[in-house]
Amino acid sequence: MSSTETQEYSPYLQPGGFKNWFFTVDHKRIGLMYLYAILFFFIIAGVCGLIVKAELLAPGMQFVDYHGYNVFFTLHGTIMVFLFIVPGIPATLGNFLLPLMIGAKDVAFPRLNLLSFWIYVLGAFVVILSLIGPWDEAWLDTGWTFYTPYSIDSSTGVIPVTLGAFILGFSSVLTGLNFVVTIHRMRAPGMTWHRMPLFVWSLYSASLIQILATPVVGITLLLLIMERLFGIGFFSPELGGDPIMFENFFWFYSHPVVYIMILPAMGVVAEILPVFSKKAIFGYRAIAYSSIAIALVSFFVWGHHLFVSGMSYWSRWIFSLLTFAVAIPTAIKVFNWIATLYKGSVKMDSPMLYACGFIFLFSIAGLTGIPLATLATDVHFHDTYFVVAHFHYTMQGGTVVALVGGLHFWWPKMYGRMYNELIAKVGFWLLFLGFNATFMPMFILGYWGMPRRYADYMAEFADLHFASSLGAMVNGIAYIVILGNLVYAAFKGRAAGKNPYNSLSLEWSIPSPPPLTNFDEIPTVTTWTYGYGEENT
Amino acid sequence: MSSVFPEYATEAARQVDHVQFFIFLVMAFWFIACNAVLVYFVFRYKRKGPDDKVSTVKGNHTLEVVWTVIPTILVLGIFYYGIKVWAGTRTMPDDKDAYVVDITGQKWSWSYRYPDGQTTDQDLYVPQGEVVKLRMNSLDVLHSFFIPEFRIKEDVVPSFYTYLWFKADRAGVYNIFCTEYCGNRHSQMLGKLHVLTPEEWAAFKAKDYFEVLTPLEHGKDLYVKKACVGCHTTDGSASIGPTFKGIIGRQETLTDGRTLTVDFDYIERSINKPDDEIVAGYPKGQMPAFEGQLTKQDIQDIYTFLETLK
Repeated sequence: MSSTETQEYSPYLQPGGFKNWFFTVDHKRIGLMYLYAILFFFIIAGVCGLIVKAELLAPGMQFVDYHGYNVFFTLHGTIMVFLFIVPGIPATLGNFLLPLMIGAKDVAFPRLNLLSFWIYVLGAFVVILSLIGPWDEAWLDTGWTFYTPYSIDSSTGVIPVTLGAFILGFSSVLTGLNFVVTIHRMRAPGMTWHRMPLFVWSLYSASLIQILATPVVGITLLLLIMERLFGIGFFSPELGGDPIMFENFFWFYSHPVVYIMILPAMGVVAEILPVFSKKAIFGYRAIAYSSIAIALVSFFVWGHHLFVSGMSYWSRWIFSLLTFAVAIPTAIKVFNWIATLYKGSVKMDSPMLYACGFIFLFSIAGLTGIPLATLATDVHFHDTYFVVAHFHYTMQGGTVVALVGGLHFWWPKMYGRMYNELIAKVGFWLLFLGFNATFMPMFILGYWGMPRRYADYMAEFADLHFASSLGAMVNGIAYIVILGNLVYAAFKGRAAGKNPYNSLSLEWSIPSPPPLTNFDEIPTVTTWTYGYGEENT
Repeated sequence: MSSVFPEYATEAARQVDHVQFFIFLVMAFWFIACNAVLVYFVFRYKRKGPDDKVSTVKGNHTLEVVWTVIPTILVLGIFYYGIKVWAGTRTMPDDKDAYVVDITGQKWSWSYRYPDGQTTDQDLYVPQGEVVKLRMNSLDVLHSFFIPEFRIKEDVVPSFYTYLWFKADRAGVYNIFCTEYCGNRHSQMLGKLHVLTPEEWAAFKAKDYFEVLTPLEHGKDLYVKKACVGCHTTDGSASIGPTFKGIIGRQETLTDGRTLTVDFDYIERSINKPDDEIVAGYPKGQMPAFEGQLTKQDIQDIYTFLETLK
């Protein structure tokens, strides 16, 4: 490997040009194209969210009417879920890093990987088609959950959006399949299962869910489309159908999908912590196996979304118990992450700041899940702001914070250039402050009974709504600082060198940015990924 | 809301709050414990230089077992406590004695039918201190019936009946929210629960509780309570439906191209089956069909009200 510097080296970023990128089969380029695409939709969906929060600054309607409000919270949720956070970390960091981390030249099926991306673009295009047409009739207002019978009755663009989500599902399944085969078949000699970075373990767990759960939502959305077009009677009560069946089908996918979003985020954190503590990850096997455990248990807890749906007494009983089962592997992970810092050498550079921020915010996310799993208390919290705050702590406080932290961590590898550390830290604290200011008041509002998806609210809820909306604006500004800093670094940052953080992981053993072929020769792995403190003193 | 803790108005709600308080203590403990240790480690093991001595510890079996077993016991305890209290809130004390009110949800109003045949809209009246059972059904999409002060909630669905029950200890007026998204005016699907003292309740049962309304007052009341007000303005501005200002005697063009003069017959047909004759420029499927819900008398009173909107 030491011969790379003397050989002719051409980074994967060159040559440029549309054709060289859109038709590439290189996993790193595909990862970057995914990154640009999902960040584009992240910004769009983020702006929709800010419009929602702006409307909620004061009681009464100020900027949009009821329909407008319903449209924007629907767009926010739909785009965030299907176009941003489901592809999320696996399609971007996962694509870029997986082969590098296990010492492979590419994923197992490079052309299938490109096809996944093309399908993603097609799906996104079909979703956008729903915006063509009169605003009051075409723009979707069902919420991202498409609950029947409202989604059957609604005059808005349910069909293009669900068809788009159906298409996007194929992209997700193919990526998952590709990753599973890659991890099984493409590991370099000596890269045993228990030497693999934990990020790879988390990708493996998420991929299993992608393969197994996605087909269910695909079929469900197809049934909904057929119901709308032909009135077959799957979900319409007047035709003998059952609207609650849709909820079951929908959450059979949409609960496990939460773990597609969060497991890779946990993997990112497990990569950052050892490097910046200069210490082996604590409880490697416990963390690795708990990823698999969470993936398995995730399939048996969807019923907690139906606790007040009219579901039977014993169904509620059983799903409450099963839901608590998720808490155990999650708690184990948190304890092991924290223990990793014990007797280490901790440097709070921005990636580490994000990793520790993740642990802080995710601990709130996880703990506020307890009253939602408990039947007595969930009945009150169900469909209130408490739930909204809880899942934003997991999705933004968890997944997005880990994604942004991971982008900082691997940015020098992806672009060969370093971001400004001070601005990165400012960005983190703005995000941390804005995020908590937005969602902490929503826990209290939910406790007071403020229902979610309300365009207007009663005067007694006004103060906390106002505080939350102000927080949201800071939250939005934070992303401008963070992304601005990263984009600037990609063009003008100082050269980073191949291993600026002294990581022992394989992706740091090759130049930054990596050559198109990754490794000139496939490396032979002889040590564990996390052997900090042993060989380098 | 003077305090962070919301008010409760039933014994069941008080018990739910006990569960919540217990969970809150558990949450606070683990939140503080985890993050205090994290912050402590960050400062205690702060990097001093490139030659810092670090531990080579990779894990600890005993610790792994301990922090698996303790949370397991804890969540099982919470589960059990939650189930016990919840079972009490779901199981009726004695079905035979319950006062049963039928609740119908539709976009975007609640209507209630009492055992003696009385009906009210949006405002639900129940006796203090008696077991009340709500038998709920929807005429269109999913809704959800939520009384925050009672800590109870259940979806209202079109395909089968769902139920809630409560025993309200304190007389007073409480909010009712729809908590399942149901379209345009979901946030306006608000009701009020009136828990009446025994004297008030006797008056309610004797139909003396409300003032006697003139046809005009009754028509205006229906206009508000049946949620017509949400889509039909009285000031001439367009909304989801045509304005009621000057509606009687107005020439309207329908979506099929016909024109007609709005009279009692058209008003009656439009209330019963609105989608059959839609005024051009307005969307279908927005207004519920009130056929069978309103009597001829009700519709005549609404007409009387509309006539006054010149």
